[in-house]
Amino acid sequence: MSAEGASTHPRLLLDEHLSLPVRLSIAAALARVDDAEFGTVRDAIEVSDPVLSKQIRVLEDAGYVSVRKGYVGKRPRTWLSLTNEGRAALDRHLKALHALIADL
Amino acid sequence: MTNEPSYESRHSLDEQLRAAEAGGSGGARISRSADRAGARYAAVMAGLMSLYLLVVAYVYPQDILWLDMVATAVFVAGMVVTCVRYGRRRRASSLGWSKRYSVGSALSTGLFGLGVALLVLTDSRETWLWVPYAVVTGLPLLVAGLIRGTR
Repeated sequence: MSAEGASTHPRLLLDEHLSLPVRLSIAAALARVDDAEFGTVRDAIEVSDPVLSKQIRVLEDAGYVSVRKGYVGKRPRTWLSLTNEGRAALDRHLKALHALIADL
Repeated sequence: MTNEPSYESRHSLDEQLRAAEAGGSGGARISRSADRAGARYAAVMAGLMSLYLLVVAYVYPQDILWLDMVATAVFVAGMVVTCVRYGRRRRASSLGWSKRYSVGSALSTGLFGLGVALLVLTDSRETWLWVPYAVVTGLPLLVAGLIRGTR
């Protein structure tokens, strides 16, 4: 049986970068907006600054999240957005999750 | 990149799904809040643009220099303060906001420019024409602010 196309088992479509629930939460939250400020995302998904920072770095290294730093007046502000690659990966991962759960 | 996760128990799959739903809900809240802020911002900008067209139509022709200067200063200050406040308070943009606002802003600015050109060319000052036209001028911005970000 071919490993490609329709025969691909859903578990093979799960994304290792999104398998951690907190990362999945971050990606799912960012999928609903064009961009969002770091603190807003932190509050929305109820995690601490260090946890969000660490997971954002992983998602950024994977090319799933784009990070933009700037200032508003003298205050530093960090903007987060999901890249197109991140959106595609999230869609694939969620479809695979639903398929796997349906099969159980 | 796709790889098998280290564990695939029903529990872990459910946990991932719950995390995605919770994140999605959080994102939806952020988006709603951004939409409300964007709608307020666009409404104020639309109002300022409509009012300024009426100023151009009815105040400028009176040739009272100080009044023209005050009206222009108030309009410019209003635009600047509104932009700065929105920029400082903005915490997120809903999906497609930049594009929607750019289109609305371009259309409103175009209608404003057309209105000014007509005022200069025709010298017409009929209220039945210019009050509705001023409202129409701000309408694209207002609509851009009222459309909700969806995907």
